[in-house]
Amino acid sequence: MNRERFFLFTGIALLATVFVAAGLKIWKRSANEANPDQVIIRLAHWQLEPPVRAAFEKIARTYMDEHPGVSIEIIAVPERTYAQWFMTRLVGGFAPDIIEIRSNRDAALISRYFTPLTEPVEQPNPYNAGTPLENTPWRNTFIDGLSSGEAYHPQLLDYYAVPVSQFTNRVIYNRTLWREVLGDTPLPTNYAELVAVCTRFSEEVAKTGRSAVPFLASKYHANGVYQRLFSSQTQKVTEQLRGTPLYIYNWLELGTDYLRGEWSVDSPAFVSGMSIMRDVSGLFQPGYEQLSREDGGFRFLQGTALMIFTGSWDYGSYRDQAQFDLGTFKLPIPEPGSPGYGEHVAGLPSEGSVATGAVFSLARQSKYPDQALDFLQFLTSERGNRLFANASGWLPAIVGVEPSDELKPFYPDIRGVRNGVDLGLFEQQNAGRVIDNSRHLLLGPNGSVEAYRDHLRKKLGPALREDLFRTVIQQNKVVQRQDGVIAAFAQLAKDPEHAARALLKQRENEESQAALETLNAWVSLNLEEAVP
Amino acid sequence: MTITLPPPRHRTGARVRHALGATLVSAALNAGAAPWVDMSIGFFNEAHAEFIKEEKSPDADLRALRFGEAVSLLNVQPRTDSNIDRSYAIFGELFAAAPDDDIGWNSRYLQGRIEQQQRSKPDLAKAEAIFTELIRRNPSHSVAQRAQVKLAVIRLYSKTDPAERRRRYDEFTDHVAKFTDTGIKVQMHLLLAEAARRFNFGNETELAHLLAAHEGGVTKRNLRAEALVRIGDLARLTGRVELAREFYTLFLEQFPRNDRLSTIEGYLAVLNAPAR
Repeated sequence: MNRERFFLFTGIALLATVFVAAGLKIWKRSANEANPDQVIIRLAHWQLEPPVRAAFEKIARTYMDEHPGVSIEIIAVPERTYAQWFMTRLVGGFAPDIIEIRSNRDAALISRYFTPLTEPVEQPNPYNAGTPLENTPWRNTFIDGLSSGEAYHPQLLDYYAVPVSQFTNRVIYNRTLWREVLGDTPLPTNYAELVAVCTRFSEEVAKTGRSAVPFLASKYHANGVYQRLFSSQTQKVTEQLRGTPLYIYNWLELGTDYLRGEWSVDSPAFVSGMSIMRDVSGLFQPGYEQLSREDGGFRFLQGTALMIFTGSWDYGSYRDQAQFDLGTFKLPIPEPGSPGYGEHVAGLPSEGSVATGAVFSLARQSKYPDQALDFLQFLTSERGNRLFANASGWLPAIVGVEPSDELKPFYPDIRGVRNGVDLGLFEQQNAGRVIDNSRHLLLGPNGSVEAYRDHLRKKLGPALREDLFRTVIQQNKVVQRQDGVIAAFAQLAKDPEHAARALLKQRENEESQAALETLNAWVSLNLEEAVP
Repeated sequence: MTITLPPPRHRTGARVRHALGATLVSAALNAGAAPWVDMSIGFFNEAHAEFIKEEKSPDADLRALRFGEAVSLLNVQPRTDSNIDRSYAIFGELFAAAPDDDIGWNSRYLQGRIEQQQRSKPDLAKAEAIFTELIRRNPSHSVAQRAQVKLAVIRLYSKTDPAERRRRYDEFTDHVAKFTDTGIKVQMHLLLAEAARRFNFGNETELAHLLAAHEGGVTKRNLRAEALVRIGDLARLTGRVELAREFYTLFLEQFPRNDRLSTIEGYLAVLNAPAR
């Protein structure tokens, strides 16, 4: 057989094998679907990190072992195509039973395609029987009481999802490289020490001619650093503007206060925030803004960087792939009262607002909603979440489930002060684009705080006006919708069997509507004429 | 709308089915309630179609169904001005036919809401007139009290001089004391507290309204949390130590995991320290 024929037959044989395998898979799937004794629950997610995928598979196997007749299929879809993939499935009527969802702001989508979990979350999770959580409502078994905007829909006022983890950011460093270059230098505990460590590292590697950077960043990773350091500088702003540090600003109020002249890009805290951003950007490798998140992680794993600031979701993958020892520490902020940036700092920021994440919803079109819900309860039970956390390298989301020793440094520390406001609040709005797209004026080689402030002084106000105006229109649609919903609950409250729940929902919607309506009215009034 | 659930297959099945059922299968209500269930979860088009369909049945309660038809029309997609006009006209007919029954009151109130909020170009003067008329007819009726809340949004947040705004504010404060519907009273107090903060009517004023709202019972979880913290803060700032201590403690008991914990504990330590 000549070489050409060999390749031809090999190709045909390969093609035939793949065809037969695919056919068998489809046949097996159809046969399973047709089997009346076989319940198939499909769960879709976009977490392609190998340990996380393995964790979902592991928990599915455990569940199936204990529930004969139930088959759990895990479908992992790449993040880039996930949104289109699941929308196509939902609209086509063949969606998976359980779907990982993103921030659930689209009320119409959520209410049409997903089942509210409000009633089940108020009941104990049956899989917690025999544990300290046995009599605790499912909702309160989550460390944040399901308070995140992803689990509880702020417009529909119902729970639509349950989380499996929570996420924090930490500096992950190459411990092997640290020892080689810096010896037993202690980890930095404040910003000045961080700068000193990075400077010394650069000097040491320069002496040896080695190619390594102290602080690796991509645009994505840098944003996390900027956010943490900028908001350290604005920790006292809320107290200055509102008379108390306990007030929670949303972007609409912050934007309105800008129009009212309550703060500006020339306010000392904001100037200091810009300044520290420029300062820290000098620690990153040149051209970091061109690097994607994945490329940043890949470069760190090659062992040519001392540290990277990233989320706990990356730790499991880094641990499995790195050929060197890893260590972690919190990104230090300036010492309160220290010269330079310390003037604006009140203390170490609390992570008490870290919400749970990686949330899963139950599709309305599920053929087996009770079984799908049962699997969700298993996944988020004390035992299920422990299994998942240990296998995935992710933090647990359930009260009483301890993270593994290596993940303990990632566990949210709720002690500390509330962090300051961050310009990231304007994300995805025109103002966000003005802030983001002109960042080269601040961070580039020829950038300066002055140039950036000049630009923002001219552009931020008009952009904020547009954003506020547009958002009021959008929010008015929610208010309009609520009129119908409130009227519906008022009618249902007349039915004695459902009166209590319906009245509660009516009240909740009315309170929510009044709050939203007055906020819209306040913003509109200030758009017309700033209220002193 | 009903969702058919398969029979329970294992030990948790029954409980799960029950839990899901309470949310989903509320269609176990009487037949006329089914479209309202749809509407309560945002299925406005489906609800509208059901109301129209039921209107054709021989023993239909036409007045109730026409009311449902008009409410659902407000959100039938795509939203059009003609749908809003039709809805307004149906409410008008229902109100004219029997202004004093429940449907009559609610129809007139929703006409006010259409003028205030539902039209592409709101007519706040018309909305104000409708709400004022409802309040004048019977201020103790719960619909009239809801109208007061919506009237307050218009009157407090319209462009006017500070003295006139304060006069309006004091008027609403007088009215809320006479409210008989606890839920609506809570909304009004929350609204007045928020306005006091925004328009600088003073910490004492804001605190009084928040305390009244708390006493009535705030239903929405995040509003309840913010009310507790704010009461603690305002009490601290106005020197009411006992009150501050009580509400900060209450907040920490009900919302133990939050990023305000340390700061509040710090305040409590100071408040609990023996006076020198």
